[in-house]
Amino acid sequence: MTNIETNNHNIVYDVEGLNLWYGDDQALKNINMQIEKNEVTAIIGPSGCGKSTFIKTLNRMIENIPIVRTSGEIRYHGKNIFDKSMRVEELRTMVGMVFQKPNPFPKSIFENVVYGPRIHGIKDKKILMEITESSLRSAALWDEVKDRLHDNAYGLSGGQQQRLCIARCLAVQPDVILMDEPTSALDPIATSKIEELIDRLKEDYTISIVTHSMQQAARISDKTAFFLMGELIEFDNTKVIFSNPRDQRTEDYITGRFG
Amino acid sequence: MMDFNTIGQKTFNLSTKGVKKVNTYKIKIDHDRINRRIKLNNISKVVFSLSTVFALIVLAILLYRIGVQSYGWLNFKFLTKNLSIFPEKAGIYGAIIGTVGLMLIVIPVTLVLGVATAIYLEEYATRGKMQAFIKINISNLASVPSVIFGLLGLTVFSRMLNLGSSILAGGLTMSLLVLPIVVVSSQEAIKAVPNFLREASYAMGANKWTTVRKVVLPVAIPGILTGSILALSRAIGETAPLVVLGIPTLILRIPKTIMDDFTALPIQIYYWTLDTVLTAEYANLAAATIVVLLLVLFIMNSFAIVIRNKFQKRF
Amino acid sequence: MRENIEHQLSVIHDRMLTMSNLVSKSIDNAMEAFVKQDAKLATDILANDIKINRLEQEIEELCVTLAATQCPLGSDLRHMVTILKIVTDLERVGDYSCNIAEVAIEMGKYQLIKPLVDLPILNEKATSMLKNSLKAYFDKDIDLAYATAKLDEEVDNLYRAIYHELLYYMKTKSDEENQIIGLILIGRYIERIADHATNICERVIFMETGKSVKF
Repeated sequence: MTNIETNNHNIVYDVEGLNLWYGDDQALKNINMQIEKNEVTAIIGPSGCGKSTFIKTLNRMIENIPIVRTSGEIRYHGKNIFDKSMRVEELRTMVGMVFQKPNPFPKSIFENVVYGPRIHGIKDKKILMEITESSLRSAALWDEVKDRLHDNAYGLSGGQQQRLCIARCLAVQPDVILMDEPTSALDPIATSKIEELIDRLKEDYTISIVTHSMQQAARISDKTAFFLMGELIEFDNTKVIFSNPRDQRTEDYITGRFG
Repeated sequence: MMDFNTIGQKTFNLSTKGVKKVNTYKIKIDHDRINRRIKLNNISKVVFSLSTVFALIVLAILLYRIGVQSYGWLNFKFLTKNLSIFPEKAGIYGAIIGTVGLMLIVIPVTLVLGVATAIYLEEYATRGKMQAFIKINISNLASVPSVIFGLLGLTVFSRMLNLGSSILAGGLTMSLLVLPIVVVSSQEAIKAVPNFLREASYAMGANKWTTVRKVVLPVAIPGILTGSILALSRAIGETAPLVVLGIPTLILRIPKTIMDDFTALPIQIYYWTLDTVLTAEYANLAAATIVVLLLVLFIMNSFAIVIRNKFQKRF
Repeated sequence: MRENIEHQLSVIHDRMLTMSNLVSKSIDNAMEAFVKQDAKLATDILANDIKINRLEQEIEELCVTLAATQCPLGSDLRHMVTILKIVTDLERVGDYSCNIAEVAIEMGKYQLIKPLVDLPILNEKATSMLKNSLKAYFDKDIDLAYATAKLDEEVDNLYRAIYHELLYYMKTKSDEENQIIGLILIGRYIERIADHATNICERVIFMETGKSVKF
């Protein structure tokens, strides 16, 4: 299953024996996987295979659904995220998330970016302005919006909104960025901008991305995990997964032989 | 010589692409049928527009009647003078003050209690049978007849708490009456806040209260206001609970505090209409008061509609 | 989607069959033309080569279309890459057949210095290697590919022996040097054909296992 040798101090997430149930339906079955620092890990698989569930478990967003139960461990830098001592607010500050549909707040661009820093207690206008500029620059949006920071975020195009969401996420200075199909609602040009951005961001962040597009996974990720019916079928270097997968089910999926 | 054709055929068959389309039925264009359907469509259009016109006609008749009756009676003096037994000297200043006083109690009480309840039910309460039970009963409460709320107010506020027929007693009774409406409409407004906004907030490490305060409420407030204004306009127009509370017929004194007795616009209309048997001119006074009351209600409703339209198309 | 990619692959497969048949006919004819000193047959080979070149181009274009429209992955991707490489090998083999034919036409004028013994054997080995490598491709038969690639060493040794023998003649019968150089060239061409057959075997192993091997 997993054919990757990992260097211990580079492991950000160490998932061990993770099971997850929605009520009586098991959505994740004994997942074992390690996510390494400064790498892009793509998660692919057919709809309903548990890939979104998995990524939402990494920052415990999945717990917003009340009927979810989990077992097993997810160690984030060695600390089990299901531990009582691990505050979910703390975890989500370190692990940011970008969603499928761009979801800026119906506020100004500036207010969107400083939302995170504000709830973590930063009040100084000057510092907030600095954060806004650096986050928007990192998200490759600054030049497009610097003259209209106080306009409503909903005046931006879909691609710009998604980059704003990435900037908003970066403003909290996360360590990991989880992305749940971030380009599925965008056109090809906006998509390629986000992909370029991901490629640059991986120098400073660890990124895990769920994607429906195998081409996208092939283009931007270092490692790829293939999920099927709640199981992690294969996890390997991206080039191996897409040119010479070991498991027949992976091969069938990437060549489009599935249902 | 070796022939690769025979080798190739074993492992690789030329695929046959595409499936032949088979239709088991055929749609025929029947002109008679289409003409019939166009006629039917025209008939229904006329029927539906007549139904709308009916409602408009009723409103027009009402406005015409009270317009004619109140003509000459509705003037500045009418608004600034207090009650009098002489029709030509009478005004509704006291009733206006009474109604404003009522609102000053109803607005804060219903907004605070109603919005808090709605937030609890939508954001905090765990979804389950208990929550569903509470929700259904709040909806039921909204349809309880107003006279029953009047009796409740009479028992609890007037008698038990000994508030008599003061503005406070009336305001609290009215608050009870419209509270379910405010709760339900606030719940709807909160429910209409897209979930992805909450997720965005949670994903940045915000907790529930921060999310409610900084994301959910700002987005829901236009909806909450629309619902609340409509609820308030109902409170302004309600007569029955105040009648049950025993609001006096004739108050010559203008209320100064919320503990004072008072009269309100609908009550004034009610009593003047009753007294028409004594003095015919009272009917004109009632009509003039109706005009004032309707104007206030129209303005409030328009305001609610403006707020709703302005914030409706954001997502 | 799967239907489209399979349709396109089957079209390419069809062209591959035609091309394989043309190339194997070319090398068969080339040696026959040489042995029988048949100039007419040799000219046919040159005509055949035009068809082979055209097929190579066509298959390449089909592969580009496949890559652009279907984005093949996994085994499809390896299959496509393999086809692209095999057609290049096949085209080279076609060229060598032409070269042999050209020499054969030239040699028609001479009386051979000795009866042909080793060159036909060399040719037999190289030709069967090529055909077996193609069979391995069409049958997806890795064992055959391994076995075929192994034969390359025999071909190399035999070629070396022929080469040294001809060098010896070069010294002793220097007035026949044109003919001897022609014979050396033919041997060289046949040996190259065997090399290309080995390449095809390597591609087949890559296609089936994803491993790059070198013989």
